Amino acid sequence: MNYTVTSDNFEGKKKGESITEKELLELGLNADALIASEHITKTATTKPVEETK
Amino acid sequence: MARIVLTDASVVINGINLSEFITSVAISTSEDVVDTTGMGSAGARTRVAGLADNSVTFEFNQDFATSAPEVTINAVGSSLVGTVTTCVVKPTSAAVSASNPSYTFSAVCAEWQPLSAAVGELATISATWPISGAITKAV
Repeated sequence: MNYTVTSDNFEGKKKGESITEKELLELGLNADALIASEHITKTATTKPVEETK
Repeated sequence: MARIVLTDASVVINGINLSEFITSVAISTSEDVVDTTGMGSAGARTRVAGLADNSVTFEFNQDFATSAPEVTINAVGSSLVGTVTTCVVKPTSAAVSASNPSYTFSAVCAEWQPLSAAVGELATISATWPISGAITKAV
């Protein structure tokens, strides 16, 4: 899971940068609280579409 | 070594820098004192240190805006209150060094006052949170 930083106050990351779930875990951060407080949002992941012939 | 007057302390709670809202921070450590006195102690008690008990007290200026204390600590749907959260405190916002150590710890957000002030006063929050485990100091 990837997240996008939407806050100006996120330590070590700028607004618009990405952070992974692994990074959040390593930093001991509570992802749910960060999402609820709108400091990060889940990044929409697009599944590659297989080409059909 | 220069003395320091705190004007730029850095407080990061759950990865969010709330320094601009912080008016006071105090990290406290105390050790249990365990009595080891036995016979032949020459009439004086002997003691050793036991378990450490750490806590942190933050004083905030309350603010309900985006990225401010209330929404960061007590968001609707997923509040940090009642959970253990990672905090990092430094004397100044500069990089970590021997003269600007960082203190990292897991605090139990055991109390929170969303609104506390008398008429005409600034709304502030004083929260003392017990620390779970050791405080890691980095230089």
